[in-house]
Amino acid sequence: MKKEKIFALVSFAALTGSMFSGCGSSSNGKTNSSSNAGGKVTIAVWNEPNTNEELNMYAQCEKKTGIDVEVTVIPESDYSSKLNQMVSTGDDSIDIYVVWENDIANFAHENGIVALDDYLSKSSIKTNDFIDAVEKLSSGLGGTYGLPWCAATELLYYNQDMFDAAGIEYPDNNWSYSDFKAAAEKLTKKASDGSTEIYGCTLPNTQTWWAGIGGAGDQVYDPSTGKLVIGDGAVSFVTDCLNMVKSGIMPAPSSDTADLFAAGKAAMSWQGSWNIGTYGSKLSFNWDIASIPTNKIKYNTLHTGFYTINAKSKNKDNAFKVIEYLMGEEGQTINSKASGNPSAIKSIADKGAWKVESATTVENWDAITDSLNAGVFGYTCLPSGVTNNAVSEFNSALLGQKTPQQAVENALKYANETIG
Amino acid sequence: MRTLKGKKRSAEILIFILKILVAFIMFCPIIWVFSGSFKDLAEFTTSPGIIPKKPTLENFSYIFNNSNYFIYIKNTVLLMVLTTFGTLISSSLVAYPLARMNFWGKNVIFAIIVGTMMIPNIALIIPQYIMFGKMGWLDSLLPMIVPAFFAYPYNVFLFRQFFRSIPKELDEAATIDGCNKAGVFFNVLVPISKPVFVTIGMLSCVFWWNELTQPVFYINSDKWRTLTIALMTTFMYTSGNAFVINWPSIMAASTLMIIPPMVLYLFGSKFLVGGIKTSGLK
Amino acid sequence: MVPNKFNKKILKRNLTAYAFCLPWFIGFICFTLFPIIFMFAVSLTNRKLNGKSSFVGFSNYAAMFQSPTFWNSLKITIFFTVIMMAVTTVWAVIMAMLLNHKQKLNGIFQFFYFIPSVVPTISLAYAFRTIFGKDAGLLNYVISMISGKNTSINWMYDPHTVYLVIFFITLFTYNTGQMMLVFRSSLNDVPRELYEACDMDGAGALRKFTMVTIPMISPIILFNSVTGCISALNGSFALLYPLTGENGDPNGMTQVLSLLIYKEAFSNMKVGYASALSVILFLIACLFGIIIFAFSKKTVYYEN
Repeated sequence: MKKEKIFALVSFAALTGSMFSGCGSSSNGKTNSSSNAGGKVTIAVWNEPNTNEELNMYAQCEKKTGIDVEVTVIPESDYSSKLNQMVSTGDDSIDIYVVWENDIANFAHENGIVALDDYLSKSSIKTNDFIDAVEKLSSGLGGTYGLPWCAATELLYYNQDMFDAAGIEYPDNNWSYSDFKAAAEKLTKKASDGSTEIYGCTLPNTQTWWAGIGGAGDQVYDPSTGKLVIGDGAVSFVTDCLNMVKSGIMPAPSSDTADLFAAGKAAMSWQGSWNIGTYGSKLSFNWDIASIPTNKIKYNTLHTGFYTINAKSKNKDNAFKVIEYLMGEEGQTINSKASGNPSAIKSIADKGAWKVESATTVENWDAITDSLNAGVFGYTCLPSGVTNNAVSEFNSALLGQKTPQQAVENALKYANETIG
Repeated sequence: MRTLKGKKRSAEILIFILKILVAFIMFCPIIWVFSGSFKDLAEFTTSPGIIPKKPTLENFSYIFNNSNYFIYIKNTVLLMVLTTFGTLISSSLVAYPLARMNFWGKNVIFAIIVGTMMIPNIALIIPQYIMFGKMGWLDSLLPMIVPAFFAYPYNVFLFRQFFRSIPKELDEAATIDGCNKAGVFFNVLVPISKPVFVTIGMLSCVFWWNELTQPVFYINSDKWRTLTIALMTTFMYTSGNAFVINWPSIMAASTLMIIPPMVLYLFGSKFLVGGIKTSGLK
Repeated sequence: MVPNKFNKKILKRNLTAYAFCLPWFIGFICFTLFPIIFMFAVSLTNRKLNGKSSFVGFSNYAAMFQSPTFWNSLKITIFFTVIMMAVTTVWAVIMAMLLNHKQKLNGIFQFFYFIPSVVPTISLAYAFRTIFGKDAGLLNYVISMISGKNTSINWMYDPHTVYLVIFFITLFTYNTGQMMLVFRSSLNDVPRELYEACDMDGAGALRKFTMVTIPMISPIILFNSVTGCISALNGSFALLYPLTGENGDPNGMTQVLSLLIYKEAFSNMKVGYASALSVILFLIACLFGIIIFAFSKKTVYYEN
């Protein structure tokens, strides 16, 4: 009977399909360390590990704990979404999630991550020593579900050579917003045809938009309702930016992604504190940092991520050992040295490992402590679709497609539709 | 008479120049990708010229050293081979009775097949995503491989069109020789249809080599990333700064991805081009 | 009464045919029919990405019809689909006619014309993002060199140029290459005698094109343009997601429905709402499908 042949073929097809269900969970080529006897732990992060072995905390962790640490990098733009998917499907391929501010509460409620209290009771991690904002964010979950991997803020980066050339005094941590605007105007250099050669300041990025809006007096994020709260402050900040774009002080939004500050084409830039580690000694000019200029209020967005253990993980004990190292003095110190982000543990942060050694021109390290004191958890607690949509609206205002008023209204409307 | 000839010649030249111009436009992005893969980031973002000022192979070594490049290749090839294999078997089987047999509901089935051809994949991807999530198939290649074993409407359609063009007398001769329907399919149609298998196989390979949408939805972790996904994740950003795109590494990875389809075209253009030509016709 | 034997034979033939169709039958039920029903069901819930859901009736649809983002996206989807279909068809005809003009090196020209169709769309998208860059883009650089003036047109973000750029890029998609090849062979099928008759009337090239070529290949043009619609609906995600992002910058001008679906489901985690959007996209596709069937009757395409 030839018919049997067909059915055999069909069932073969089905079988072949099912055979590949879990196949070949092959080893990761990135961590080439000799296979340790201590087992393997995978960790999901959004930043590429430092290329310098000494400053790569995962590599150092492998050495100290004897556990293979495999790093899976998921880009920032997809990070929250991919983690949510993994948690909702009960994925067990990642043992340690570094979870963002807007996700940790949900993951804890869904039992996607485990409470660490039992582990912590037997551990040396100082949980009573976190900076206040972190303590506040993780309270109310009925346990400790995550440990903050650092406490990053946003800073004003400036090109000292350009300030010298223009004869402007360097900014300090009490610089006012009007000082900033005046300086940006003076620092802008135009070519003969009216186009800008050197911008006074770069455009705010998706993160620092919120520092500007918060500084202009808006609450940004209301922890009690979980909503986006923007209004007059946002309108005034978007209007300021629009004026600066119009007069060539800031570049217009474009598809270009070059870092104008690093390329020496912009005198100032508002960026995350972790760029200190990225810039290090790589820039061809002298630069320093200062607090984000103070507008109506002194505002700064805190950034962190929480080391959490996947509830589905099969290596929870080893995972905690890795976290213990990363949260310990050595792990935190390496992280600070590599990134410039202080530890969220006060006693470790006080030792100042975050004063990145390669950033030799930076003197105003007080800017970091000053920013930390002003830092709150803001836009990072909102869904990324909402904040990205808002930034897209602001950008279209800068392009003249709508008024700042309309842009802010649209952003708010979309946020309310979405958060509900 | 001479002016007419001269006019004709200048028209010929004009058309030839036009052809070169169009060829240049169509090939320009590919040249740009090739040239960009030999630039460093500073040059790429400041001086746009086609010829790199100081050509470097850094980008390629960055890709091989800083990513699981061979895992991405393995995943892409696995995906490509299995889906192609699956769709060739299943689609040709389904196309056979539609082209050569009479049975109840044939027209209804064919109408549904043509109808489902029109549904864009993206419209059904959310429910499929939830479904595959329930089955525990997310973050693997299964959501893409398994459906291939259950016949893609478009490929069924192509096979049917081809099978119909084969003379019916061949079937009848085989039937007289004592073959049943399955025998006719395997002993007569399949051997004679090798070219169409090659064509559809090639089209399927090209499709899955280039496919972005489904992996974007279904793949989470590094170990199942395909080359297209790696292009927008692993190779995208410079270490440390999430706002600076590492264009040269993207261009180098793109170069490596562009070459295989080009080679396929060079060696298989007969099947590829011939197959596509007939795909839109009867 | 039909003889029993005959009945058996028919039954056997039918069963054999169904056995052959079995893979499609399973596939259709599991991967098409069920998802369609399921999609409608999910669109009536407030399902989140983490799987939590409860029944909310038609409130997703109510919210959708009140959302300017949705209406904008719907408008953009139809606009993008129709214009992409038009420009790619015209371009494919142009390339096909050039290639069909008998000259040397046509094989090589076909390689250049067709190759963009088979390289990854995402590579092309990234290439064009940098070609059309503002400060370091190839095009601005070339224009600066030719004009001698410093040019920095913000191609991708200027509302006046963004569509120009996007539709230019659609010329490089698979759809265009496919159409070009189909047109090549259908142009060859136009009977020579018709052109010769025109020559005798002393008709010019343009007249020949409008009087003979267009009418003769019009069924193919229709069929291709409508299938082009479907691939535009389907392929827009792979092209636009790497090019303009989930927000369809600038100002949502390129935010087709597929991008909005992705954004709502994965950035805002609103899977229920994304399902409601998918239902709309599905209905649009059905609409185009019906149009195809309407056209196909004229083109004697399914000559069953």
